[in-house]
Amino acid sequence: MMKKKKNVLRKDFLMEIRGSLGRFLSIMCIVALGTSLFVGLTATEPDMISSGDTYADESRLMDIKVVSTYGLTEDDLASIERLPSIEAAEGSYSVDVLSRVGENMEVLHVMSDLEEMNQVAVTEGRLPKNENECLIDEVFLAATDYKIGDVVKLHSGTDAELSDSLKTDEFKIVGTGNSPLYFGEARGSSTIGKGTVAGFLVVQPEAFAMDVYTEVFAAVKNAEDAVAYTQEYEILLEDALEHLQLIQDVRCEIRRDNLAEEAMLQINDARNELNEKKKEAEELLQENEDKLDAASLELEMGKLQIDMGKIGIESGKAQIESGKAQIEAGKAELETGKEELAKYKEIYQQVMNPLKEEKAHMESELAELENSLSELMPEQQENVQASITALKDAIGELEGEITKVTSEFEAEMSAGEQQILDAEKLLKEKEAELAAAEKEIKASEHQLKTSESQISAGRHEIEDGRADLNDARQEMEEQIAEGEAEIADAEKEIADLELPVWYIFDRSSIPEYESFGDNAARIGALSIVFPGMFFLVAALISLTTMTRMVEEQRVQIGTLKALGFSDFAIVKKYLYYALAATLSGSLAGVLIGEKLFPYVIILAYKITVYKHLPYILIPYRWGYAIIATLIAAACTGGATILSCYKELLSQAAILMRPEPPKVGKRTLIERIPFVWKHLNFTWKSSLRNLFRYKKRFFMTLFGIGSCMGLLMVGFGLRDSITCIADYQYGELQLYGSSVYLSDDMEKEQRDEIESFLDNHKKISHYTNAHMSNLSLANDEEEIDGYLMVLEDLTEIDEFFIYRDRRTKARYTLNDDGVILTEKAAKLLGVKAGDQIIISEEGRNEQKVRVAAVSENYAGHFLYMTSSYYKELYEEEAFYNNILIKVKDGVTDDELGRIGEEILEFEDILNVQYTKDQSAQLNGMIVALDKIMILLIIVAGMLSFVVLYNLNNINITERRRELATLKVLGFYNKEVAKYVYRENVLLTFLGVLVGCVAGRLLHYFTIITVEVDVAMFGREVSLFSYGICALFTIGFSVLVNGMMYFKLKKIDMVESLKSVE
Amino acid sequence: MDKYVELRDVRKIYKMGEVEIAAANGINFHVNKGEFAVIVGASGAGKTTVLNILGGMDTATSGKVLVDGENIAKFNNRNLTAYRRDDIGFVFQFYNLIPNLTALENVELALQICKEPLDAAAVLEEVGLGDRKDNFPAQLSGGEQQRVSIARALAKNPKLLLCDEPTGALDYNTGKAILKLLQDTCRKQGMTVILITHNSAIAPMADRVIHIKSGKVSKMIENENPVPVETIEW
Repeated sequence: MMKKKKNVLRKDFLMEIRGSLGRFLSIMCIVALGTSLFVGLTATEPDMISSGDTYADESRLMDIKVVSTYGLTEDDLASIERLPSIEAAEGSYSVDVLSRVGENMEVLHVMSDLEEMNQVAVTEGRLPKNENECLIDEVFLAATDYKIGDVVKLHSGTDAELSDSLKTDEFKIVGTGNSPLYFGEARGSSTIGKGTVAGFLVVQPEAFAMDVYTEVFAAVKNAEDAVAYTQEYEILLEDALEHLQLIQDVRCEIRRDNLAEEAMLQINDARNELNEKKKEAEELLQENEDKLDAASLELEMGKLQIDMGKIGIESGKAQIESGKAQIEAGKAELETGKEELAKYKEIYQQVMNPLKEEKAHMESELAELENSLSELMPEQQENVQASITALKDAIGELEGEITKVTSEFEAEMSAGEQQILDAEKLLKEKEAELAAAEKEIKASEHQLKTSESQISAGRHEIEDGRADLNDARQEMEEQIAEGEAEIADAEKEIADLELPVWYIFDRSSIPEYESFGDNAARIGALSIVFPGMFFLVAALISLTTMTRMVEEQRVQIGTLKALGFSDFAIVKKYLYYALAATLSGSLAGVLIGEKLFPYVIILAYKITVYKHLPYILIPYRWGYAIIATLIAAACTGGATILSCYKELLSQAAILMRPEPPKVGKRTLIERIPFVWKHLNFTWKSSLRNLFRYKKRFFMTLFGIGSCMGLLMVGFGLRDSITCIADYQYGELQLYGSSVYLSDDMEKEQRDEIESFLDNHKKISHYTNAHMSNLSLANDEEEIDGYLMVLEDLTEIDEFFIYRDRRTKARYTLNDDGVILTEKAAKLLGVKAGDQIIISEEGRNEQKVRVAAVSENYAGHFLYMTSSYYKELYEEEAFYNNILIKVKDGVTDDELGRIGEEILEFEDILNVQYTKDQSAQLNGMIVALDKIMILLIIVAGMLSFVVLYNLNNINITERRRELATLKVLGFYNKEVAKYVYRENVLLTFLGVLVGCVAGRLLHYFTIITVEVDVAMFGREVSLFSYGICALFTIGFSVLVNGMMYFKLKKIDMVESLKSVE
Repeated sequence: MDKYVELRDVRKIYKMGEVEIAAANGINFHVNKGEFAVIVGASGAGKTTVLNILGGMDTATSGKVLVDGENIAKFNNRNLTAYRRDDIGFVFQFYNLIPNLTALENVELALQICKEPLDAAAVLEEVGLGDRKDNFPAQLSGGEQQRVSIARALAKNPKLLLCDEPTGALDYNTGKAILKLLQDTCRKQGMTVILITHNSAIAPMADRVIHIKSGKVSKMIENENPVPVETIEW
């Protein structure tokens, strides 16, 4: 029997669901929406964190990075690794370099490929295998024309040679990839180039030319098992950081001593070397000098020889002259000899002539005689013969005489002539001798000349040599002096060698690592309000639906009661009905919501900000599912019991009679006859309906209001984030870039930069500012912010606008006190006129008076005048920052180039651009847009469920009424209008409620989502109001359009039936 | 004068899967203008089908339905709505008033849609509800509600007043009063009234009585001397 009874009720129950599927589905849907949103948003936080954590674990992302001002040695590495809280440590090299991309010099961060930690994920290609290969940043590659196989040329960004840090300046790209050291697209800042790193290169450690590690990465013991961003992880990290702090001082001292010792050794070596060199140089100089001396001696000798030669020549010449004179004398003698000879000849002739004449005369007489002889007769002949013979004798005698004189003369003559000939010959010989001597002298004269010129050349050479030698000596002396000075400097340096400083970073130093956790936490914070809203609407929907159901079935309830069923048995059916809808709804909601919401949200973050995140881990988290189901069940079950309550209290007999029709009620509007008279009857009926069915009224108002509110949160959030960039960098902080100067900057260098800025055509204003980190505190809270001291207040309006956010009233910075930014003031709970305590690192705490609280969205700033600063710290502020404002129309690229130019000056640490900050914010907007689609869908579904439910109840409840209207001759459209009027009114009211609710919800969301260092805009733009209203109305139109078909199907015959 | 409303061989066949059920199986009758006609039949005889077809709420499968010379059997949905709107005044068994509107507003509601309405307040006065016109239906008794329903039908100034068991939900005396109101309306205003009932005792007050049985007109009686309602008892 029992079994049968149960079966009957169960059958009734199942039939009930089948018969009222729309009703069942509407409860199911709203529960599904609520739970999916709840589990989805709650699960997103742990899902996001575990996705990030898994990535960090798998890529063995470092927990701690240690950087030292002097680099880190193997010993440092070993001592870090020995720490009990450190699991492993690995040394790494890195350097920031410049590389030309198009027209710009971009900064590249070159780092060594690590064996254990920070594993690079190769996207394409492979890791470098030799010293000349590199893997390049995928993001950077995409922004350039580089491809795998190309060669990247690197340049040093500092005064130091690139070869100091890298062995080569050209690397062949062999692969692309991502490093876990970059969570998003940001690559951090640099002290070279533009100040922002554009990408990274991974090269082999062997490619580095450094002898100490640039940084040491460490993994904290057990940290891999702990989930990042959680308390557990933080505690482990804190321990490790503490341990590192403990060894830091010791290690730094050791490092300094080692350095000093090393330097001392080096100095000694240097000194020895210097001395040796000095000696060597001196020796060399001496040698050279000796050589020169020898050469000059030789030269002197040569000269002497020449002189001697000259003397020889001179004497030769004299000899020649005397020879010549002798010859001349000889010649003269010869002439006289010849003359004498001629005289002698004359004498001979004089002697001969009478002789010859006598002879001739005798001969002629002879001849005459002889001639006459022949003619004469022989007596005569004998006489003549005797005369002839006497004559002949005389002639013979004469001839003897002549012959004797002639032979004497001739002997004497030939002797004289011989003598002359001999003398002539001798003379000739002598002359030839002289000529030869002369020639010889000429030759030796010539030789002497060349020798002389040689000697003079040699002399020049020697002089030059001496000059060179002097120079060399001077140089050497200078060098030695220099070397000595250097050694002295080095010695001094060693004496003042400062302790190295370790900078210990945790993962928050990784760009965008921290924001990832913050974003996760923010979404977690939203998981209360939004689902809460949906659960409330779910409760209202259950209430109206179940109330309607119970009302419809009051006769049945009465009958069951009359039959003796217990109250609980009766309620059970409705409770089960509601719970069945709830359970199936929450099952669907959990199944979809726990996957969909985390997936979409994390994906949105992934594609916009955290591009390298390889995983989206979205496991089912059943704990949340159970909580969500319990909440939903409580809402719907509670509503069901509430709706049955009245019926169960009634007597069976009353229940079995049809419910007396509800009395129409007059509404407030009827008291205004002017309005009421002008309304037609469908309007009147609708208005009275609205006010009569309060549950439905509130359900719809709530549902539509929530839909509107939800949309407004989305669009408003967008407004709020957009306005950070717009307000902060468009209205409040007006400079385009800020230039960080080194503390060592000298006056001259500053003057140089200033004159550069003064003359730059594109710069409209610049000002000096002191900017430093500062902690701001009241008695309880302490926050970090920036101190901004402005040197010159005359042009301050060009850089900063101080104003009240609401009234827009302007404040002036003066010596009365500081201006504090709004969020900081809020966090500290101070207002204008209050005092706060500020402390700069390494300085005493100071109390300052807050003169005004100024509107501000990004960061915390404390502004003060230079004289206030001076009064406070009793010294002038050092202006370590130049704020630059460019003229209107100067593009970001041009500003970037100005930055590059500025970076070329000495002692410029960094140039930051305002646009970079805006760009990051815009990334958030894009992420938000993805989530917005989800929000719009959810809001649409909410309004659908609510409006469908309202219409469904309205139509089923008024089926008779609507059939009657049809019988009376109302067209379908008129009937629809009659029903829609209510929906339209409720939609508009809902939109109004939504405007208010959305505003509050938006405010709540903003303050939840907001990070401490930023203030989101508090305003929702009119455009957003408009678009949200349009969406809401659109959803309403859609649902109403669908309802039209249901209305059309209402059968007029219904009107003939009796009231149930 | 004659045959203001005429049904000729009207059939209405419902298909229930393979089975065809004829709710009306060749109905022929007519009613003259200004007559008070009563259609009598037992439950399931087909009188509701006749009412639906005459009231423009349903169409005949075959046959002609002539009302003032027009064959409404050929009308499409839109024409039928216009017919209901302009030519028919309908009085429901369960009054079918809009609960959110007062008596007067319920009458006015119907007037909002028709071409030549009568004055709502005057009609309510005529049906004897002049002093209750601002009450909501729930504040009125059944008879009063039915009067409002009649007033709503009459105010439209229809060609034909169709009444579906107007006394079915009322007690004896109230029912009589309502019938009297209907008879008086017919007599005084020359309104053609067709009343559908299962109660044959009402028949003597009618000018014409049509008996329906198994989807057909079993007999039609023209009553030369209808009696006043007061004399009828059941």
